[in-house]
Amino acid sequence: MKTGNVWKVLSLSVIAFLLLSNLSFVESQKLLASTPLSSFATINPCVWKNTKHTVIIKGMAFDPAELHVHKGDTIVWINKDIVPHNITVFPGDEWTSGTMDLGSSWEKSISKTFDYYCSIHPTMKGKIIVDP
Amino acid sequence: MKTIKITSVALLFVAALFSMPLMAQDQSTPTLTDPEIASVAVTANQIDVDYGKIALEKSQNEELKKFAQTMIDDHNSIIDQAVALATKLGVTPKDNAVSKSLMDGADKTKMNLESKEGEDFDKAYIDNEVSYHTAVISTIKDVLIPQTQNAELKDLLQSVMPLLEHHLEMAKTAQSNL
Repeated sequence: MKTGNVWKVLSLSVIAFLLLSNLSFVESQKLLASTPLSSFATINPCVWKNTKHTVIIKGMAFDPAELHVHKGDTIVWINKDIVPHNITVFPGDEWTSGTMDLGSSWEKSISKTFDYYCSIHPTMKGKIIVDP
Repeated sequence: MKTIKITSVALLFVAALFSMPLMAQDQSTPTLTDPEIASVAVTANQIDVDYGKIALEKSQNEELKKFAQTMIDDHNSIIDQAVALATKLGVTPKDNAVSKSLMDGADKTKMNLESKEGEDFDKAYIDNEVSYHTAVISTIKDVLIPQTQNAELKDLLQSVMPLLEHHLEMAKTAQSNL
């Protein structure tokens, strides 16, 4: 192949590459713009999302009795036992869920570590630990 | 003299309660059917509701009254579920030797409780709660659960066990605080 032809082929390849790259960039921008924010959050580990945890009340016990969470997470307690219970912070009884009837649930957003118990059945105890 | 008499009555009562599950296991005791077991379950719970109501009327001790209210609420909840299950299964609770024995014992205990006042009543009530729950736990565990045929009724009886164990611990704690 002559030197001139080599240059022609190289030049055409570079032009084709640039055109294709540009097209891909435009398409990727369109794709990004059409992606829902929620989908973006789930695939992007940099976007942190609060978690909802569940504690089951059954057999006169909280399951799990000890739960590690992050600040801002939510905990849902579900009473699947055969008698009413409550969730009361310990010590001091500064807040309580009130009586939770059979089958009912109660949730709370968590900001700090605390112990709790059922004030109706005081030997039922649990602990929520907020990890750093 | 009076103390000796009261102690003797109390010991006889506790002995009668503890012997109940043993009697039921005796070969001469008829086998209980599911309707009869349902009757024993409802009767045993109703008896403790009645004891709790007497405590609310007679005791001046706030801790004891709180305990009595918990007994009333919890045992009423169990009765509701036992009756609902019996209705669902088309089972009519049927009186039997064990439920009648429970009722006879309860009548005597109620008379004893009604005759006492103040701290004497508080002590008699909580002592009875400890012995009664101990006896009922033994009866359900050793007599009722092994004989129950229906799976749902057996599940209900098994799910009651942690509650009764918890009540027993609460009663022992209240007893030690008097």
